[in-house]
Amino acid sequence: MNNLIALYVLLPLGAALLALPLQRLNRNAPALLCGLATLYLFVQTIVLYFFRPYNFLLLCRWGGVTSPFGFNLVLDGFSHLMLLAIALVAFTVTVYSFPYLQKYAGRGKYYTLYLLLLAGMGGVVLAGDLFGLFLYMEVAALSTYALVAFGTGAEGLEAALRYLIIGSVASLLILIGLGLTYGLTGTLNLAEIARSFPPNAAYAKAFISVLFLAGFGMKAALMPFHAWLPDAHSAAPAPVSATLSGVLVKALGVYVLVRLFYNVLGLTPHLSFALTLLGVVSLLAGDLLALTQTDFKRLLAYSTIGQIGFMIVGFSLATPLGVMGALFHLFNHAVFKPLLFMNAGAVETATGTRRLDQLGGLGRKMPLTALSNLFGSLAISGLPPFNGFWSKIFIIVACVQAGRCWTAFALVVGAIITLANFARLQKLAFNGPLPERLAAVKEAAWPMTAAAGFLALLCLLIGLGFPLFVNFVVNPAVVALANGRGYGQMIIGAL
Amino acid sequence: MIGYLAAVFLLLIGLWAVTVKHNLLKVAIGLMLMQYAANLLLVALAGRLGGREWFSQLAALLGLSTTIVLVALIRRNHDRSGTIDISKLTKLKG
Repeated sequence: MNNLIALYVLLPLGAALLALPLQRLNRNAPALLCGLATLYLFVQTIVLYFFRPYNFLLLCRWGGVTSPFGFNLVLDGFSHLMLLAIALVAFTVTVYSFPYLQKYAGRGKYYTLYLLLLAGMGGVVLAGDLFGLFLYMEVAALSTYALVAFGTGAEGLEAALRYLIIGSVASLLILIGLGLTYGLTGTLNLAEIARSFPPNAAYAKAFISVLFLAGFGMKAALMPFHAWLPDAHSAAPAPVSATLSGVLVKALGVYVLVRLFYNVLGLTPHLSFALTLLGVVSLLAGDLLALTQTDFKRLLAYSTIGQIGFMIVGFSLATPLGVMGALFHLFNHAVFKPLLFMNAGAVETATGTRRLDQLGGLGRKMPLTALSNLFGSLAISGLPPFNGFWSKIFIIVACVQAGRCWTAFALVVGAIITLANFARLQKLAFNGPLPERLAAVKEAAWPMTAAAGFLALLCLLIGLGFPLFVNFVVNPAVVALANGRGYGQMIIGAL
Repeated sequence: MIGYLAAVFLLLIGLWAVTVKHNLLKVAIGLMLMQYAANLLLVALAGRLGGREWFSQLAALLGLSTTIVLVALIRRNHDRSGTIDISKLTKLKG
């Protein structure tokens, strides 16, 4: 059972190596291979929920090498939740990609890069040591830079360049933080770092925390480190945007920040305040900037910054309800944001434009896309009974319980702006009169509508069955984080 | 001590190039210098603690891979837009 978790890295890695040679045999073979690999990982992630006892760790050591230099993989409730989000998005995006990518040449390269991205994200989420985490993060980041530029249009190349420069600076800050941590503790194993920070190194620890906050904050696109995200997410092909926005910014940014501050370095009151501030600024600024956008995908990209802010505020509270709401919102965002990006891609494919001022009335021509977009819009706006309503209400109530009424007020304002954003999007793209030049538009290909429809249905089902979902999927992650730095003791005990 | 000072010096020069220069190749060189600085720091720390330096070598390899992708993107971009001046890349709004 323990060795199964290595498949989250090895399976996509192996499939990535096979994708290009297989393309010579059959041009659709890489897509099929990617589909099978992601379907297997999705099913395995769900099945593991039935076999991994509550608050129990699964550990896998690479080649028996032990700390301080060994790589090991650790699956706990938090990493399991992230893996579920990654596997869900990867599978639906692969189904969606099949017709979407027909217009691109070099699809084998796309699937190779996409599988490498999955291996990197799986490794980051499971890594039990800081250097392994850095290594997987770089694999994921390198694949992403190439994927953003995949269309090789001028926009994609420019976005990839900016993303690479900012991403490299972020990686360097993280690498310096990693080096200083190693210098202070003599280990890179997360579990051992948690218990071996010298008690008289408070300033050094604070400095390392700032380096990690800036580095992973850039990866998570928190304001003011957000500049790369709107360009990269709007210029990339739609399946890449869906993956970047749905899971990459969370796996490489939010997940690692939360893991480090909850389970390794400890969340101090100063850090908690800084995170609340960054979260509120990201939420309000991201959503307000989204209001001014006329490009479908840029609107969604700015909205991602806002929603990441919502999650960060929940995590910064460090209360069980706040953490639960943030984790639930993290997963929910991985359902509705890829759905919205898929719809943006379907609209662009059908009409040849993403400009909202050139769209309108598409509900009559693309009814399934319009309906799934309505579900996604209602979910991200936090309207009942969709999943986004519950996660947002949990975070807002947690703020009030923690005595942070102004923060709760800011969150309510942010939620209202999100509602305005998506009401505007729905009206401009799918309602109103149909422009004459769009009279011949047809519904997107069935794999694209099926993938989006599946995610739309999940938005509703998770919202309706939220007590079951929270108990089964979210609460084990809350327990893993509530364990705080006891996480290290658990892993060392299990090893 | 010399190792740490050299790392800080390289880091500052690299940061200056990345933040001030408009020529994308100079930005790439700045990033490389910053990577060298971080790797030098890792080597110095690993040496002080008597550890193995293989992870700094791996980090250097990752840095090199990033630089190769960056240079490839700069070249592609030059073929498309005819410039390597970052201030002239205005297709996107930022």
